[in-house]
Amino acid sequence: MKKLFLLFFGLLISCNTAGDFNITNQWFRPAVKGMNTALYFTIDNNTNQTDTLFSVKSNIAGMVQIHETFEKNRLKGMRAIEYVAVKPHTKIYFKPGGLHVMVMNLKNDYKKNSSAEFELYFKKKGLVKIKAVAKE
Amino acid sequence: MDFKKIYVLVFISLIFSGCGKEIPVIKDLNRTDYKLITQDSTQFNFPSDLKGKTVVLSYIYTNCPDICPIITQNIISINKQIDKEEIDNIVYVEISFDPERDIPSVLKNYAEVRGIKSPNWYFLTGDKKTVFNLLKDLNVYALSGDTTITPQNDSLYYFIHTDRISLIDKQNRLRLNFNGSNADKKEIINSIKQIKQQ
Repeated sequence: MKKLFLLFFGLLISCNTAGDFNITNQWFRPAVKGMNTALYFTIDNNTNQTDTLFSVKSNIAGMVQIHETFEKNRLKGMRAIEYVAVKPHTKIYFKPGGLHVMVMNLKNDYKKNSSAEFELYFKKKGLVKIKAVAKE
Repeated sequence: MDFKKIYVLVFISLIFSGCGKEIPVIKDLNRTDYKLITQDSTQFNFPSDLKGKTVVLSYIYTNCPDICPIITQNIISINKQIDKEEIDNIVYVEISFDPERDIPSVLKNYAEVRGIKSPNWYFLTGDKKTVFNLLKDLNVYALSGDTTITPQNDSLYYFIHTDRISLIDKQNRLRLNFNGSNADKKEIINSIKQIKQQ
């Protein structure tokens, strides 16, 4: 009986180890007013649920979209994607040459070491605000 | 001389024959000279103004947020190592395949925001027809992709384009092409040294 209780207690703990959901390593490339830049970061979903990034907003730009870089016929390009799903206990890397947030038509110059705020919208987590620094 | 010595000499000469292996010429660019404009609004004749220099060449558009800045950043790293090793007579050239928008002042901003101040670094633009004839000559392609309209009614555009870093020798001959954004910088630096000797 005691063993059964311990087993049940153990299972209860393991089912509820909902960990953290973090955005780390956020940065964007320096760019000048009117131009585009890319925002990069890591989504660390250490919870037991899949979450989905479906929108990014920032008042520093005319428009912000989630993009991916692709290769076709030995040419490189970018295209908008609607969402990025992050499975439980996985990390998704937004990095140069891959997934990135395209920050279009900047309203000001963003030189090296300047910073900007972005709003990341997830289906489950909701709004996550981040501050990123411009660097190469 | 006995046979043993001859064998040793033949063996050594075989080893060294591979070291100075000539890198093949992809294309001689001397046939046509293209009149372009630098980021400082000065005229630049491509490739005749590069004669006698080893050239690290790439192709970009400044509104590109991901691939092109990676290419430029890779060349910045190559440039730093080349300067560190005190290798002289190397010139860096980035040609815009969006010449209508990438006017000299835009190219200058692109360079300045990345801290590029080297007098040996040219960002080139020019008349659209001239630029595209040159790119065709270099086997570089840039196709207009979708245009996005912002909520402010601004149009945003992309290119699907060649992702490449090329090396041109002192005789204006295209010698090597590398992946640009995913560049093996060490390999490119070694090739620069090798081409410089040829």
